[in-house]
Formats: sequence, C-alpha cells, structure tokens
Amino acid sequence: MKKEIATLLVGVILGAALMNLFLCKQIDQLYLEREKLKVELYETTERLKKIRVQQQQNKLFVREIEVIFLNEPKQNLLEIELHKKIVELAQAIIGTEVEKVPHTIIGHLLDQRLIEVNGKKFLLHLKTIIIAEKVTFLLKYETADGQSDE
Amino acid sequence: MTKLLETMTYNAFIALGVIIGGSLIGSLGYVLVGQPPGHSMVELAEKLKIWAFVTGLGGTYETIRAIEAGFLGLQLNTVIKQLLLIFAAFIGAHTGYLIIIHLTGGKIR
Repeated sequence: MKKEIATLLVGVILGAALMNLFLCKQIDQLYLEREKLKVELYETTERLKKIRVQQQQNKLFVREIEVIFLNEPKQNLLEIELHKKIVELAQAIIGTEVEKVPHTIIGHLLDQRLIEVNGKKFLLHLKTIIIAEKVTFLLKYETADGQSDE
Repeated sequence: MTKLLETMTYNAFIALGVIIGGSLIGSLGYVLVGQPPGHSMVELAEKLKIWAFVTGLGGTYETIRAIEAGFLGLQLNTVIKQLLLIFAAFIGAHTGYLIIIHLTGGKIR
C-alpha cells in the first residue's frame, strides 16, 4: 500500500514538473505581461491623480463681463450707460468659479429689469447668457412705457 | 583505476540529479506562489550548482582533507585523484545547468 502511495506521489510530482516544464514559456510570458500591465496601471493611476490635482488647481473663474445689445440702430451713449449699470448689477459674479455661477439668478436679475438712465427708464430683455471666463450677456432694451427704443 | 572511474561517474550523476531535480521540482513551489516557472528554474539551477558540486563530492571535507594530506605528504596521486573527482562533479553540475537552460529556452534577459 505504501509503495502505491509513494508511486502515486512520485507520479504526481513528475507530472506536475513535466507540465511545468512544457508550459513554463507561456507562463513566463503571461507573468511578464502581468508585470508590465501592473507597471502601466500604476503609471496611469499616478498620472490620473496628477491630472485631477491639476484640474482642481486650474479652476476657471469669471474674470470679465461683456454686454452686447442686440437693438438696431445702435445708441452708443445710451448703451454705454446701460452697460455700466448692468456691469454694476452683475459685478458679484466676477471671481466666481465658472461652474458655480448662479445662472438662473443672474438671468432673473437682468431680465425684465428697469434701469434708469438720464431720467428715462429702460426695460431689459435678456436673450442669452454665455458663461465662461468672460461672461457675455446678450440683451435687448426698450423704454419703460412699452415703446421699443429703436 | 576502475574504482576511480566509478566514483567519478557517481559524482557526476549525483551533481546532475541535484541540479535537474532541484530545479524542476523546486520551480513547482515558485509556481504555487505566483512566480514565473521558467525564470525560477534557471535561477534555481544557478543557485544549486555549488550545492550539487558539494553533494557530488560527498558533502564532507574528506576530499579537501585528502588533497591537503596529499600535498603535505607529497602524494601526487591522491591529489590528482581528488581533483578528478572534483572535476567530475563539476561536469555533472554544469551539464545539469545547461540542460535546464536549454529546456527553459535560455535565460530571460
């Protein structure tokens, strides 16, 4: 009985050794690939971490406000005054992170707003807001009595 | 002379067996812990070479003592005999090492 067990064990060991010998090249290749992938994964993870940190540091902030009036013909003097008032109103958003600009509040702040210039009241109609580092407002205006100031 | 040849053959084959068996079966352990078998076989063959050589010589200091005695007693025959035994063990160990290297497809660079 002991002899059979010993033979079996020798067979198992020899079989495993031979299988190991025949497959060693493939297993070595797979091991190398796994190691390469591990290194690649590590490098990619580190790069991703750096990119995330960079991204957090390089946040975009509102630096400038641009106001464009869509009325035709242009009334330069009036538009300059309106521009000044609008910039005063929207001043608070300068320095805000672009992603965190409260666009709805800004919209309500300017749309349907009455602004007095040289004793006359003008009603603003906000058409578009472009939020970026330079926030752009596209507006139309009319005199407050309902007649378009065109 | 025949006795010497017999002992040389023993030494050579013992060393050969230590290298081949040790590398082939030892690498199974490496595989079980997730190491590459081919690479570990070559590594084991290199490491076992010196031990195969010692085992082939009987694993004792007798050969060294015999050489020493031969030198001191000016018995050149004994010295040459022991050197031949050492050489046979070396040949066996190196043959085993070369066999393993070729079986695994050469050293991984």
